[in-house]
Amino acid sequence: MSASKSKTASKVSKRSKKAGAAAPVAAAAAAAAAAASDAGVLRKFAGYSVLPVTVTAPEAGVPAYPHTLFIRKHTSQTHGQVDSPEGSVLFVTNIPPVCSRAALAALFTDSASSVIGVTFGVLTEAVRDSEEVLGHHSVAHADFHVFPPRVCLASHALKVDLTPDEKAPGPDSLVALRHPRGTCAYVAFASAADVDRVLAWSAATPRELHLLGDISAVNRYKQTYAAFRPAEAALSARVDKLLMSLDSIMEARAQAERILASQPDDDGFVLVTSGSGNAAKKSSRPMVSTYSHQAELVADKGPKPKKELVNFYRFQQRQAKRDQLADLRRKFEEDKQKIERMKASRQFRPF
Amino acid sequence: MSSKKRSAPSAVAVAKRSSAGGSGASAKATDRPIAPSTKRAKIVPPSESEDSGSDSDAGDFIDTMDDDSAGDDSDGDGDSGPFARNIGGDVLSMLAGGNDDDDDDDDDDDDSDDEAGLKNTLYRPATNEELNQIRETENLFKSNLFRLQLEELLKESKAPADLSKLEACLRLLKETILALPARPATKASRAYLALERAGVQVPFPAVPNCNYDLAFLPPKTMSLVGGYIPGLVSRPKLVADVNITMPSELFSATHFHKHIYHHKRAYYLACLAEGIRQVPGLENVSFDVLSGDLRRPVLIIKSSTTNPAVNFRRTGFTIRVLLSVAADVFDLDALLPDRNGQRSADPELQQAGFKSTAATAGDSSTSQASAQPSPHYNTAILEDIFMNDNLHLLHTMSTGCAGFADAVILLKVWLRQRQLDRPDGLTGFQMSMLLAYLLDVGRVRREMSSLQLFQMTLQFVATHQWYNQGDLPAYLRDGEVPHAAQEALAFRPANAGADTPAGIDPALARLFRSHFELVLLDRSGRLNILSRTSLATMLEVAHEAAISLKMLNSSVNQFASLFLTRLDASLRYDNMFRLAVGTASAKSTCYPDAATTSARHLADVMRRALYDRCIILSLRLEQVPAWEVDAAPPSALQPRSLTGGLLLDPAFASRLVSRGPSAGFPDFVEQFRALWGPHSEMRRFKDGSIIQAATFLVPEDSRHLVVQQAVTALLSHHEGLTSAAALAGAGFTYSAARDTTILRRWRDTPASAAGPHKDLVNAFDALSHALKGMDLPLEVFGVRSTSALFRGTAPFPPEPHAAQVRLPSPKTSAAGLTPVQSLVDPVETIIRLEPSARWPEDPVAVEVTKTAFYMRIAETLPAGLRAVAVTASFVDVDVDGFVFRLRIDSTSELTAMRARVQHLVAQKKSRQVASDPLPTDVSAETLQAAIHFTERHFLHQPAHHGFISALADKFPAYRRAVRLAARWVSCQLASDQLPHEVVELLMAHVFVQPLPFSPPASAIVALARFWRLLARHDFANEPIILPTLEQIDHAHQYSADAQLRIEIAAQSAGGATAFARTRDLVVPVVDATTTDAYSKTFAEIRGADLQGPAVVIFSSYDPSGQMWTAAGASASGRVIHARLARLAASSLSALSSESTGLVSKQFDLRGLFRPALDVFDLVIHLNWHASATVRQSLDVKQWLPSDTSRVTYKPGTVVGSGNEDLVAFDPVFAFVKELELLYGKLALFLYDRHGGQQIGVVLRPNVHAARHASVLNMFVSTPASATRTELTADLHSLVGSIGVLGAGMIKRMTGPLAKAAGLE
Repeated sequence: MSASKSKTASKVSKRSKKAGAAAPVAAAAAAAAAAASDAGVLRKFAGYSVLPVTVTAPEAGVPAYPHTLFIRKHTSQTHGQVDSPEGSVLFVTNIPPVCSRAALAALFTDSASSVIGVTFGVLTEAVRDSEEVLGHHSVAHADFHVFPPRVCLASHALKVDLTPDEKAPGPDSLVALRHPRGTCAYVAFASAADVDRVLAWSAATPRELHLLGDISAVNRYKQTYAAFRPAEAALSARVDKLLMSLDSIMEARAQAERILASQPDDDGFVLVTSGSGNAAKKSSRPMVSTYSHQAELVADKGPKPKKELVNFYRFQQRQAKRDQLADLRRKFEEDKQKIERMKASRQFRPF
Repeated sequence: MSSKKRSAPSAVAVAKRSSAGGSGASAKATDRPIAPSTKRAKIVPPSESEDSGSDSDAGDFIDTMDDDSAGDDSDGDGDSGPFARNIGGDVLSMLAGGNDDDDDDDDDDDDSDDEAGLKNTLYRPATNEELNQIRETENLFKSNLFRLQLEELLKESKAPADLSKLEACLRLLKETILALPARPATKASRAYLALERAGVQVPFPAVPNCNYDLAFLPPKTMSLVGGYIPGLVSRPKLVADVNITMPSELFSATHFHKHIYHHKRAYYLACLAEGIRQVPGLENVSFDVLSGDLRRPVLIIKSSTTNPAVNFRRTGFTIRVLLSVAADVFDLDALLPDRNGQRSADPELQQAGFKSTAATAGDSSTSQASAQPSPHYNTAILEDIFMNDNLHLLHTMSTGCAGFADAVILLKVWLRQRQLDRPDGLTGFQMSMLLAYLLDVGRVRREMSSLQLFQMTLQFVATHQWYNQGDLPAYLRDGEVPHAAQEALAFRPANAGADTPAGIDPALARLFRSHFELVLLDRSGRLNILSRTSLATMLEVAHEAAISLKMLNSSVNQFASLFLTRLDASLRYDNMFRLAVGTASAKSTCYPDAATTSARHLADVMRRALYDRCIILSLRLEQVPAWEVDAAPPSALQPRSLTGGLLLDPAFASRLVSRGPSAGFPDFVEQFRALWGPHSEMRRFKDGSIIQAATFLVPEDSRHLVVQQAVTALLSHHEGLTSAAALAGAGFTYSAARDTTILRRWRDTPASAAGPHKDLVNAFDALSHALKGMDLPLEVFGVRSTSALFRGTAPFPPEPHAAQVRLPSPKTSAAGLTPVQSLVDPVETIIRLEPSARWPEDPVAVEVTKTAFYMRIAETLPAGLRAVAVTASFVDVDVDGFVFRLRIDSTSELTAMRARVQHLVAQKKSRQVASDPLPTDVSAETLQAAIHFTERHFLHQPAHHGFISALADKFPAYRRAVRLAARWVSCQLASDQLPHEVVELLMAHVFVQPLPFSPPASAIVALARFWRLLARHDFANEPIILPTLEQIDHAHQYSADAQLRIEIAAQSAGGATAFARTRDLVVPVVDATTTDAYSKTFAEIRGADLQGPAVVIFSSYDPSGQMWTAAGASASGRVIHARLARLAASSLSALSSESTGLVSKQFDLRGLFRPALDVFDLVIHLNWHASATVRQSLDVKQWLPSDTSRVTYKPGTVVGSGNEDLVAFDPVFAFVKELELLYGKLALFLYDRHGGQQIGVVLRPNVHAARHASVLNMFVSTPASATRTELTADLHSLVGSIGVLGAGMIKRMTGPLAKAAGLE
């Protein structure tokens, strides 16, 4: 596997050299990067190294643009390649939205170091500055349905992937990393020294992130479209499997809930609810569909409250009337102010 | 004494009273802003002290005309009162009673602290004066606020107080005119020459063989007349009318013939002009016409700077010199309407433009010519004779009735806001004479307030029967109906006592009635004041009056709509047209000029021909502008532009046939043929009748163009505009077809344009049938669609898949541009299944079961129906090329989901941790989103669909109107910002709450009012409240009942009264309790700091008010709304502008639909081939390469490479959604769903803010600077990555951001 990787990488670097020489934007970006760091090494920023790159695309008409990658050594072992030695994983964040593993691998592969694997991840709120990530790329599909954006529980349960299979990346496979907070990547090197070498890269050298493969937007959307519509046989198999095991699943859930309900909480209490049994739940569920949805929208009116007898005594009546007069006077003052405002906005000139 | 002096201190007094507590001063400090301006009658100029010598002169103006003004003002009711709420009388009496007791106590407490002071102010005892005011406001005015508003309006509309300069100028004018030298009688040619040398052209065409001499004698007197003295003038047309009676010696008794009088009059005016302009301060003179009548020029004097003492520029007035002639000069009997006063066959004069009735007879004898009556010519002379009397009458009226002057000003303002105060409309003078008439015959009382007088006048106009059977097409009547003599209005004769009954000699009334459409005889019984007003105009005034009465009686304060807003023609009429009339072919009559002749003739013809298609017909002639004294007068043969406005009756307007009389009545057939010309044919109908009929052939989707065809046919017959070229030559434009370019796809097939809806319904029926017969575990109970395509409000009609046009790449251009398949828009369909108790309890399990159903449906579809795709959440089925997206509605699902969410939330609260996740476990957030979707799809959309479909069936123009409005919204790149449902509901409001208009009957006017709603409605403070369908039905039922009654009455009277329908407006009323409940909800939504969505719409199915608009609750939602409001306002002003408006030659509706791109930070221009909706683009021809060919797609085949069977595949939509997902926090992405060529990007305001250096903030960021440890948005990278994301779709990017990134 690594052999094939390095082969593609060398191909990439050759192509990128050619493109880099031709692209003035890349040169400009490199110059800017050089100016930014006077020491010649990558700038340190909030625990990260700042790696300025120029993103170039294989397709004509897509202009190259400067981009900033943030890199650091990955410290925790939870993610990254399983077989990579301690400290040999580079954590990269702010990955551009259209980027393949191969492209990243090509960026970090040079004569001295070789990339043995790249994994994408998504940042979540729960894990602040630690490099914890939740799940792999699969999170993306819960957020983004292109055609059309619908929420479907079934697709969730049936694990309908909305993205091409990420597990077997061919050389041209390409993923749109669609997450509002962007994507991070774990680049695994052969040894920890490789990571240190990358972190010690000279800021003056122009780096190019050359996007690989077919990045055509229409094709990408077609892939997504197809992914949302799995082959009938596959869908059917999943549905059948799930429906078959439905009873056992339900039983498992009830069991779990029963156990949970009997456990004391932090304060040492067990909350006793009437809904612990199945009977209560069943009764709350309508047994027969009536399709009277409209009824839900109309508020229940109920019986009208009885009218109260007010102002029975004469002094009350008098007071009420006096209040009314006072009200009128207040209203008059308000009206006058309103008129003043209208006058100020010249509303009384009907011509 | 002047009104200024009186009102100024009183305003102070009111202020004082409100602050000073219950001091005794309050009794005196009665506000009197509705100052009876009758005071001006006794014109004692404010300059009195400094210029006492001129007093007598000023007095002269009055004395000459005013004798009985001494009867001073009876105490006016104009006192303003603070109280206007409807208080029961018992409150009043009670307060008055309680007054005496508490008086002293309250006064004592006066000087406690402030709060108590305020309390005392509010609780001080009511004085009698105050109670009077309460009563008055309650009885005479609508409400307190209304009264205050009226006062302000009157203050603004009246003439300024300081008129000393103007009066000085009038004195100077009088001195000058009385001292003018006489000019001896000379030959006309010599007289012309002399004046021309002096730089004045006689405002009358030269008469070559003139056999009479022209002379000038100075007048004996000059008097100030018109509205100036009684205070009837209102801004902006402040005119001081000066009347000069021409010496009787200049005319002989027969000089009223053959325009001799008018010729001499014009010469007299020219001599005056020549004499006046020598005097410094009076040089600024020009000619104008009176009442649009070229035969009656007048002199206009504007302020001049040469003499500062008489420079009255600041008063805003112009002086107008009118000429009159004594009543004993001509034989008045010879000027009765049945006499021919014109009697002119003078060819030269005719050539010059003054055609006579005699000319129609050609070479007939003079006796025949004199037999032809010339009522309008006679009137032009009579108006000069009785002018003084009538102006004097107005003056008397205003002194005798305190509210008169103010009521006249209100009427004038009202007329002007509706553009009815034109010479060919109803002038302010005519309206005030109408009010005077009502006073004179006792229809209104002198004690009434100005508002009451105003209201009563409108009431009279709205309910009076202005026409009778005689005005209807003959074939609608059973024989000849005699003219109803009692319908002629007339003042009481001059010499009549108070007990003389109203009404006039029936013979005279009949005489006038037979020559004029409308009759209002003045005191002399000779002059018809309404002669220049056509019946069509009066009916329009009546219609407007009926609407205004509705508004006056409404519980909401509609002051602004009544008086303050201009009700533009483009907002009022369903159809508008414009053409130039008055070409040489016009028939000769006694009207002043050729254009007027044509206009009056067309008004008559169209009213009769379109009798039930159109409720109101308004024809507005371009007015003759004033001209300089040394310029030639405008020719009477000059074509002028005529703007027509039609208010259509939606029930009848689009009928394809105008049925005429049956063949058995040759006379009527003749009349009908005369009306329609060659367009009328004898036809046999299905019911067996053989009748004369005019038929119109239009395709099914263009039924709204029937009236246009009818109008064109009438113009071709009556104006001689028989060919398209002739129509174009006359500059003919018609508004109804202006929207076709908007709603048409590129190369729409006839099938998709003609009856798409029918095909869709057929396909749907087939599907429904198939589903119900299907062998499923549960039976299908019902199938329904909730799609806008199905209710006909989608901007583009559904198109069968098979008919869709494919766009292979152009032959010549480079390869690589493979166009995407054009959009197949699926029709959302809901399946209801047989109720069952066996649905699983778990929401996810329910969904999966539904998936199993979808797969089963796909498997068992009968032949002819094809499942395009099955997914976890729906199945797409293709029926005859239409694709339906089926989803199953199971009620238990929502309950299950809600229960599950509750359970999860409870679990989270008690911090219990679930063990191993089960396959059906989902997060509460996902469930929440699923609940939202399910509610929207299975509850809200069906309710909305039902409401809108029912509404659309009641208003024929509604569907097209929504399509236009939705298209406009999306063209402004706001496709997703204002959801289609919101557009539909806003448009529903336009239709069901039409005030101050009547309900729209055409899509274009509805669009204009939609813009008005967006631009003018105060969405922040006023929710939109829609009535229920029952309330709408009730209103319709009411109007239908009313119509039925009218028709029955008409049948018994022997005919149909088509125009009576106008009086019943369909305005459903939302009951008060519901409104209150909505208002409360609205207040909760808005809260203290105006929260909530930009638009809140309450309807019977949505008491929350924000079902569809909740997404717009964010700040950006409000920004988008404000932007749309601005765009709507500018569209509206473009639409109503005279030169570029709806009926102008160069108007292009598409211009108002093109988005303004300069406001965006970045504009992404798209490639045409990536747009699935390219054919819907507004400018598709510019976008597509010229050599693109098309191929009609057949289902199941693949055309070119890359064209698959994709449903709802729209790359542009996907692109925008992707951008929103990734960069939604940085920018807004606006686009047009229907073939938009651009995506607009607006950066959010906080985008440049520095952000904390955290790994979560690093996306699209870069270090803020070399030294700081903060992040900032990386806009270069943003633009670049947008370029990468849209690879192949983006043509180029423009805008400031693109420039900064070096792309532009």
